[in-house]
Amino acid sequence: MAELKGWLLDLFADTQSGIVLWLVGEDGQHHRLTQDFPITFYAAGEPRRLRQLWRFLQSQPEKVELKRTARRDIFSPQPVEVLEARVAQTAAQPFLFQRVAREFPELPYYDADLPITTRHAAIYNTFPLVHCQVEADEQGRVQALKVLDTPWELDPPAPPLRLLAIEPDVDPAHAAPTALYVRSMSVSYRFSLVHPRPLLINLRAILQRQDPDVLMTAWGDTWLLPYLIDLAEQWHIPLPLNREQGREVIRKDERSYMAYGQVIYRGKQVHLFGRWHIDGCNAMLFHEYGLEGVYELARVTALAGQTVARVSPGSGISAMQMVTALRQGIMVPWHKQQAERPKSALEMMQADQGGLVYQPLIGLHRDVAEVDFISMYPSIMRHFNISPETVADPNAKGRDQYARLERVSELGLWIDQETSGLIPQTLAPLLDKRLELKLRLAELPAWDPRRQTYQAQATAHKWLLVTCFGYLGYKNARFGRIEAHEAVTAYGREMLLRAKEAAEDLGFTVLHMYVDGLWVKKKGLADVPSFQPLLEEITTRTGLPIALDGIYRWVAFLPSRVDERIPVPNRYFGVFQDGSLKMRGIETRRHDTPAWVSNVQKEILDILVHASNVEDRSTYLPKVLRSLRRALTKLRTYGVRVEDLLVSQTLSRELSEYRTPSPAARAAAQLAAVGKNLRPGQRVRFVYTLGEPGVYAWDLPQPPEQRSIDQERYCVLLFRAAAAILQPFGIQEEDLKNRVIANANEVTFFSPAYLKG
Amino acid sequence: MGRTLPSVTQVFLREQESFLRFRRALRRSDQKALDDLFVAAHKHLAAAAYASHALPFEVFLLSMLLEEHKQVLRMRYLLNPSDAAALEQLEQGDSTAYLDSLTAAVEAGNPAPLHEPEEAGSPASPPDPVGSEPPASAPDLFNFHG
Amino acid sequence: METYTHPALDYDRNMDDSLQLSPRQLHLVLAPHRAQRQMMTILTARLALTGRVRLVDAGNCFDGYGLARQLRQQTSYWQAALDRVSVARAFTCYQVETLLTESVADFSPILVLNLLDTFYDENVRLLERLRLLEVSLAELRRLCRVASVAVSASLPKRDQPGELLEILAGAAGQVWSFEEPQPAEPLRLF
Repeated sequence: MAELKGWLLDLFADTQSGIVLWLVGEDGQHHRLTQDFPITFYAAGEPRRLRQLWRFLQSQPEKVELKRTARRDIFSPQPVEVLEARVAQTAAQPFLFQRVAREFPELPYYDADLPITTRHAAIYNTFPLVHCQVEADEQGRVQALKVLDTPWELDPPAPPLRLLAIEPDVDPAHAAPTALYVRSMSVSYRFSLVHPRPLLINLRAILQRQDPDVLMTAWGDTWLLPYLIDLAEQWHIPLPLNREQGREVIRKDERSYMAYGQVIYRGKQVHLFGRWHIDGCNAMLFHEYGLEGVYELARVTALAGQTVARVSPGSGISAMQMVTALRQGIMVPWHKQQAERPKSALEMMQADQGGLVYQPLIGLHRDVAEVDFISMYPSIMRHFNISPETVADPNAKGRDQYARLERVSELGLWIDQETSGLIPQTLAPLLDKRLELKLRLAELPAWDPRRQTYQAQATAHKWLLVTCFGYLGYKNARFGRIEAHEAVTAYGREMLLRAKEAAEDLGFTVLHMYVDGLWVKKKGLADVPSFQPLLEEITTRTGLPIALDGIYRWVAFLPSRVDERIPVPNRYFGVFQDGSLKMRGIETRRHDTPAWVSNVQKEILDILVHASNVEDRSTYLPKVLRSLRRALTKLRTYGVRVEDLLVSQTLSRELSEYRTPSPAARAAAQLAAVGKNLRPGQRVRFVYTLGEPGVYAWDLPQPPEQRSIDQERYCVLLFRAAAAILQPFGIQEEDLKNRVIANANEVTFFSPAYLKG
Repeated sequence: MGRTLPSVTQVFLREQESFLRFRRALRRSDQKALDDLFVAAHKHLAAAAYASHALPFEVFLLSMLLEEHKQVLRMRYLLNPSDAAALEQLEQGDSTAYLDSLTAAVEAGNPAPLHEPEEAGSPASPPDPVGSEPPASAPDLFNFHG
Repeated sequence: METYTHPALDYDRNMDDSLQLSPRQLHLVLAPHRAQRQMMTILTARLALTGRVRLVDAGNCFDGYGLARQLRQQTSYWQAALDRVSVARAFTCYQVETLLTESVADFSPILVLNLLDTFYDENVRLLERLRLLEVSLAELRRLCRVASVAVSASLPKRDQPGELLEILAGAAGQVWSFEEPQPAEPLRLF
């Protein structure tokens, strides 16, 4: 009997029986262990049908233990009579269930299709990268398992993971790659793709020698790994991509689907056994939090690293809810069946609203404090105990079952405060860790190496928390409930108004409000301590945590592009007292803006930030004009790289569905003509060109000609972006154009300014 | 994500659109004044949303009126801050005093004076020095063109 | 089956008289999306004047403001009338089935808005959607026994399966079909 200590890297169903666990040992070795892991699922419904199901299950080849019992369904006040089916062989359960669901489609099923890691987490408190202690016999069968840490610790002992990175030399969508770069902590290679045989032999050797725990790639899902796998097959030189012997890699197809009112595109996927494959170009939000973020998400959601890197944060939240439910003996429904309780039309109009979004006072303001509720919606869910099962309808039967009801502001909704709900219980540790992390980050000096890790973890938490509210109201969320979602927004509106009242009672002017934040100012107040009484008053009146995001030296709220008198809630920019910029809704923040325009806008912002006195134009306007002239000169003299003129837009539907094709659609059509078919939800990159069709797609075999670029169009974009920033400072677009072109003799081919670059 | 009713901005735009025929038939200068009213209402969409009124246009009208009144208050303040205060007092006390004088002036064929000293009701306030000023820019309510 | 070739988009209160609900009948209003929404709003308003109405919004198209405006035009007690309208929304075909199964038969008329909308969601297998539709229709027939029931739907788009509408139309006792008028021939002077 061996006692092993290490970190859990991978967990999956074995082809034979039970599950396989891969452990990165403290001894530096990798250990493959197995464990018995029967899977239980439940069926409810009409007794007659359940009896038929019983007989059906008994007749199936798989070994199943059957039992009649009663278990908790979160949407039922009383436990539900169910048929319990315990399948001995882990891998067999999904196939068996498929047959069951086909034969008895109308029955409500529970715990039927849950991820293995989720089930394991519920029983053993494990999660990917958990530090644990295992007792295993000589055959590697787990006899006992004990976890040594939780996902909520800030500095758990980190596993010594071995990384290997492979990437092609160029984006395969753009041009055919000719070489591969392979890198690890100790080695770095470049292999030509022209000669497959040495490439494959070398790759095989590296994989065997480096034996990575995490394989990082660029375009690994969509091109690299499928290409290498096919190549290996052609040349009969198998690549040990899996650490697990005798298994094929898992391959998933690409798909486009509708979610949250948008078309979402998922590329093909390649998952490995025994190690993680993360494709930096196909991972969700990878640029936001990187590999450290993926590690944190895996720990906190108990979803396999390869899964959590690719799914939306909503799936992460869902998995967390499942773990909480399973641990409490609450069954997880297979399909969301639960529907809205009827409301009167009047109640519907009150409840069906989002957050309060104000119209700001347009223009430039000085010494403005931005005050934000910390994770407002999740905090509300936790503080007011909002969960699908705690929302009560006192008019329905069984009202006396509720011990402590609290009304949600003016809505006809009541929340049962007696027992802590599933959602608050799921969110509590995450909220606590987030707060602890924020405090830790605030204390750490800027040079501390831990900052980067903490930052990535904080970002990962942020995305989970931001999603959990939307998920509560999502039609397919297993533990979703629209009344709970509406209760949260109702509290949100109420608390924001209380914050406004607190501010006004303390003599502040409220410049703007947006769902969970306010912008306030008071004459004479410009330092952090003077806003402390306001923060305390708001917390007293609302019960929710609130923080000072920062004090702006100045902030500009921009008007609508259509009418300068109409305020717009989400377009502004400002500089904090520490010199950092914050901006929302302007061109630099938008995906579809070409880099050349964003860069100039950033330059102008920078000039404004460093201007000694924003009220005096002479301190910034000349520099701004010079910046614009430089940019225009570069454009006119073909000095701007085509890459910097790329516009990136999403294809919203199939090409055939466009009545009048958008620029993105026209570019996509060009790509389709050379065999590159884009799916809805994918981004198309192109430049604007003269004449018809007015666009030239980026990933075509030939690059676009500099002379064909529609420079006028880009000038328009530039001036619009510049004017957006300068408008609050009293400078109109026409005026700006005139001033820039006024000294036109500076903008010529042979001007010394141009020659200096 | 579970939203059924249109947002307050969408409702507002739809209401604005439903008056397009009315707008078209107005003189161009009147069109601009009408547009100003809608711009004014646009400033209070958040409060209109929170009001959750089943007939939102009533709240938009109230918003327009709100902004109009703010204009009046601004203009009073512009005349002379102490004049503004006196006018406020007028309204708090006998709010029909200036209306009565307006009616009387019309009957007498004279333009209505803007300021009248307060008679009864206002406690220890001194006689209003404003009353002695000539009625400067008395608006001709019937023949005013924009 | 009564077929109207009225310009569906011009439907207004004057046309309202044709949508009279008979007891124990499953009525189907078939019209383009916008017209369907308008007609059901007017029908709801008319019914709410004299009693309770239950709406099952199966297509996220409940027009609260439109309903309020209609009621306001017809009675000064429009708020009380609005209060008599109860709404429950279904965002998936599973929820449609649940809502109809849970519906209590209490004699008030039941209007189901845009019944088929969620059944065109390709994320659910067609066989499953057909099963859910059959169950939903069975529940509607149950409700018909004690209340007037009207369902609205539109014609399927090009890439949507036509059998769902066929099944629905087959189950309906009274069908009102409103079509888009053909574009008029341009007047020729010569």
